[in-house]
Amino acid sequence: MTDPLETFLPDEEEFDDDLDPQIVLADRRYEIIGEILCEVYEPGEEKWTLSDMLDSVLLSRYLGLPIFMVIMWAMFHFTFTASSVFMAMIEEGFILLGTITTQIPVPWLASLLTDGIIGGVGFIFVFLPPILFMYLSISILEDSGYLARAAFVMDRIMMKMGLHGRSFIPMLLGFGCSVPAIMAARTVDGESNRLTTILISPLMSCAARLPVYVLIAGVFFPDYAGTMVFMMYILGIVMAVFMALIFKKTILKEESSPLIMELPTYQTPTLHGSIRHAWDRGYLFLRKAGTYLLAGAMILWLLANTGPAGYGVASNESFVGIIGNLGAFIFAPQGFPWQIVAALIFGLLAKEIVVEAMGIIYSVQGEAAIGASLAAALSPLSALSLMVFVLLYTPCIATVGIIKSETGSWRWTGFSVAYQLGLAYLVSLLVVLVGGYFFL
Amino acid sequence: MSDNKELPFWSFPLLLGMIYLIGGILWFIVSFDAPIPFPAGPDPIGSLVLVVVSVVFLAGVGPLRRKDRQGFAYIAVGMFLAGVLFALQLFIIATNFLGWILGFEDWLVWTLLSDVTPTVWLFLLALFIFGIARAIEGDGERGFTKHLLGDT
Repeated sequence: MTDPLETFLPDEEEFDDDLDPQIVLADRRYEIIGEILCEVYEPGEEKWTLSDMLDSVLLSRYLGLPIFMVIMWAMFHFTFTASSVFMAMIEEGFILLGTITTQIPVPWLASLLTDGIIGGVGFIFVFLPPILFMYLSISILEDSGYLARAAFVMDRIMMKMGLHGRSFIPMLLGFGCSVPAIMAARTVDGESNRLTTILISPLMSCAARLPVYVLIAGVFFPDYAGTMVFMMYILGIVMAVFMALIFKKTILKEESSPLIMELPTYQTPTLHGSIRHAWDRGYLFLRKAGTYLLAGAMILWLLANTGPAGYGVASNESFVGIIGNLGAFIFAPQGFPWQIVAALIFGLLAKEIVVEAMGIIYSVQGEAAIGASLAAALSPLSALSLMVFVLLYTPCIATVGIIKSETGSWRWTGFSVAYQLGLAYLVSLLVVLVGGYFFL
Repeated sequence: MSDNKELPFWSFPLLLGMIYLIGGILWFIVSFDAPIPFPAGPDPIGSLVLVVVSVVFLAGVGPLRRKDRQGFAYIAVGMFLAGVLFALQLFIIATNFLGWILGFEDWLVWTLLSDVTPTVWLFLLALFIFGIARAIEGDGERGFTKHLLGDT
């Protein structure tokens, strides 16, 4: 028997310019494995493992994608519907707390605690259950080995469209947070392919956007809330693929290379492992809420209660009102009032702030109260347009920072922010125009 | 595979596929306010999900008619998907029940029947049919479990 290691490295001439070195290496690796097996393994009756059986259907050319869609829909439907009661529990707790803080005899302190901290950060805490449920679901899919199959299924579609298949792994990470998704683009071959991945990853809907969807879908589309959230995630994927296609055809032309991945065997996820993953994510959310979002809520409260005339001005004369009114005319076609525009502007810092800002600007506590304010301010079509805008516009300041760090270019960073804002504006406008044509 | 001449095994995925297909189509039609008596509220996407499950079952008919064990894979994945949808709906019923017990405003008008969607009763029906199929096929040397779990 020859030493496989001696023959492992391919000859130099095998590295044809047209071939991806990774394909050559993978081919050689499996060739060696085959040679070893021929010498040491006596083939018996053909074996059909559970993994083979599941893969033959889950990775099927025609059924793979519909099954992936069914699993995604089930995940979001479950996330939204099952978490509702837990959200109501947390909300009741904060409403109770709010009734206590309003009794504080110092008006500014009562307002800061009730409208600023409880109305802002407290309201954000309400969205912990859907985040936990979503990450529990993702963790189960990941631990079972299905998520790797999902990447495989999507890779085939992306390759058909001439896109880089390996980009889907960072895109999947984008469901959690855009920052690691952009960092994961380092694994993508070729500068143009890597840049394309960096530019499209923020379009995948991250966890921070979930509270906005849950709030708006719950208020405006209560019967289809889970489905609406699912549609936002699908729209994110569709827009990412669409933009990648545009970039590949225009400014970032480069040959795509196939995705080579070894699929893990299916495993039964452990309850402990899945809960641990979900809790890790929930803890990150809580830590963010207890630090950055708390500071943001206090600053927002200050800006919403002070203006050029001093403290205690009407909300539309406050600094937040001035900022919101400055941008309101731009969003007039979408039907966004200045309060929403101000929330979106502050949302550039972090998407959770959009919901936090709504609570502070409208000076109300609890999902029902904010929901009533939103229902009075927006039409269902404008609400859908708002969800689309939140999905597509720049996720957060941290994402902008990581794009600068990964591309090393202010030009690409600026382009990323500009194209996302432009895309979000155009698509949200399209929602209102097309929806208005068909439904009004 | 079974030599049962009276009821060929491929008729089971056909039956499972048809009940999910009919259930999905009726649910879809009802979702658009069609005057058909159907025990479910409107949910067009939920109904399309049932259609996908039915397609998975029906895709197994062809291989099973050719006595290709690949067909068992479609039944297994179909049952798995139907089971996942059933289990998630049960969890949703449990959480809604909790909201009703606690007397939260949004759950005051909640009823158990409103949450018993076609994903629940279709799966129970599918489980019954699957049970009959397994009983006929048996769990012997060439039985269903052997096919599902391999010969390992």
